[in-house]
Amino acid sequence: MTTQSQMLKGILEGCILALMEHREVYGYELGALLEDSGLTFVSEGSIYPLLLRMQREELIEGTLRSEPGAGGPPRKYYRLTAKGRDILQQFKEHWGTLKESVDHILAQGGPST
Amino acid sequence: MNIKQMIEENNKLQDAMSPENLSYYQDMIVYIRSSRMQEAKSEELLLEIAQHLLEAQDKGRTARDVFGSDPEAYCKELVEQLPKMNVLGALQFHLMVPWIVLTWFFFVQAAAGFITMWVGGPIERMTQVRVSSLLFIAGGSYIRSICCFYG
Repeated sequence: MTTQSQMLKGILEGCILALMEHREVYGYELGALLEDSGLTFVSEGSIYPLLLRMQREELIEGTLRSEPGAGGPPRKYYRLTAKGRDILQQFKEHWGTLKESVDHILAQGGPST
Repeated sequence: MNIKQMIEENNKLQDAMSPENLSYYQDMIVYIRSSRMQEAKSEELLLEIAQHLLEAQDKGRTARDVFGSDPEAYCKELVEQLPKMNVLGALQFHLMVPWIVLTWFFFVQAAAGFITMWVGGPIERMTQVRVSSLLFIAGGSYIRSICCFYG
């Protein structure tokens, strides 16, 4: 795996945690939310292996249930665990520092001779 | 929701799939159900995938668009992330067949001895069994069961 895709994976994981911070989200919805945010490098199907890994690592947990009122077949809704919240907090801090540093370098441009 | 209910829901969802999507989805079912992962987890995942597939289908996208052109490769990616059978479950799985076979062997041995005694025959031969015979029976039945399972 390339460094770039590793990095994107970490960012994607952070974004998924952030999207679940305030409410429960189901798989299809999550894919649509990511796409709407412009994260087009994420293929729709690739979120499921990621969701499974995040469940195994106990960052998120899912429950299968029917939407009240709507009837219909049950969906799996995901929410953050306490550990997931910690990791999201860490991600926000890391991202803040990284963004600041990169912005700083880009604004300055290369060293002038 | 128990496993049976999940499978029923799953069957209902399949009725709504287009022939092309259904065929793709059934490949996924075969791959995931035969993966020896915890059954409840597998069924939950299959149900989730079926839901996603139908929502995509409503928007005019196919299973191929969503999960890629190779269902087996995609399922492999999924299965790698699923919790495997726990250690105790795996141990029971491996010991069950030799255990049952040996139980039957002793039962038959005892019954034969009892009948011999009843008809007044010599029972010395019935009271002994070689350890190597037991090992052979246990080992043979184990290999046979593994062949059946993976064959």
